[in-house]
Amino acid sequence: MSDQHHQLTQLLRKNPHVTLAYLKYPDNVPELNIHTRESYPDTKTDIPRQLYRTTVKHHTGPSFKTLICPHPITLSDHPHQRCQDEPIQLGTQIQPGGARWVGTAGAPVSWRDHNNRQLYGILSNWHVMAAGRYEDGHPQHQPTDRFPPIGHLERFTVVSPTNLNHHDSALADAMHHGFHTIDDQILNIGPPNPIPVHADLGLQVSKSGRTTGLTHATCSATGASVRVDYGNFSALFQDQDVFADTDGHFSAPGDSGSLICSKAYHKPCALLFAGGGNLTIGNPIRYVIQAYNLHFHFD
Amino acid sequence: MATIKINFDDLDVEFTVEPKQDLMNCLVQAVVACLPTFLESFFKCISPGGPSGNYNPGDRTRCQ
Repeated sequence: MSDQHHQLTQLLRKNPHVTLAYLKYPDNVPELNIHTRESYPDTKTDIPRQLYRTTVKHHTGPSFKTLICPHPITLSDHPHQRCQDEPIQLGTQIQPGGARWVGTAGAPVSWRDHNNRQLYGILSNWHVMAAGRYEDGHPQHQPTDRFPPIGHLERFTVVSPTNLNHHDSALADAMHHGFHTIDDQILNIGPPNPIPVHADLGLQVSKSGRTTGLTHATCSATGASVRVDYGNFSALFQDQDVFADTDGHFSAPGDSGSLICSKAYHKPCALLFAGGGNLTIGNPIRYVIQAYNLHFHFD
Repeated sequence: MATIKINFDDLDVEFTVEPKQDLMNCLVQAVVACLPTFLESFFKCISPGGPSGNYNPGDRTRCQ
């Protein structure tokens, strides 16, 4: 399987106009799906030799971008965007101090720091809470930096423009003046199930995010390689989960950092970080869990 | 008879010494008295769980 992932990534490396590639198995026959930028619909694609025997299905668009949005000038009364008193429910707007953007504080999580201390805090994306400009300890505010911080950046994984990436994630410690600022709940979802789940084709999922609130989608591909536009660079991600809209848009700019979980039992499934057209991309949650030895419970 | 109290960080122990007891005996008594507390702290630190903090949610108003 990892060899297939590698071949799909090679396809994106060789073809800069390809934005997404994944395999499907309709009737147990492998089918290579290739999405190209809208501006290059008819470009011939250089397919790695190992994938020659598969049926190829070409799609035009979409291109994928991270889903942050510009820092709003006025405050909103939207439940996912307004200021909350403690303890703060997640799935809501967050802004790093001084940043020109906002995203979503995705989920309550616990982990241990480098000194083996138990921490409770917020899971979101690197490009939401850190984005290369900020170091450990940078304050995170809800909903904007006009209000006191609700946590401080504690861990993150930098997204590389040159190397292969598997996740875009960051953690903020939610301890502030002796108390934890956050609740163990995600707004409109409740507490996430502590047991994670692998995304499978057809899995019904939900997310609670800053812009579109509670929405639902279906897993339409796994093991995908995708090119994501970060504004000043683009990055390649391997072995990603793809989700298709079911009723209305599953995500929009500002929803980056949301936790995607199974609709039935709210089991953590993926970390939402990019989207385009009617598709949303999530990092399989197992990569994030492994990176920080993360837990989705506060016991 | 005198009571000696040692209070240093998490270490908080008490022990008594007889009058005119020599210094070495006093030190041995001090070490023996401190040992259980020290070992407890030590094993707590090196255990896989490490020193655990508790989830302690606040209820502060922050939106004025």
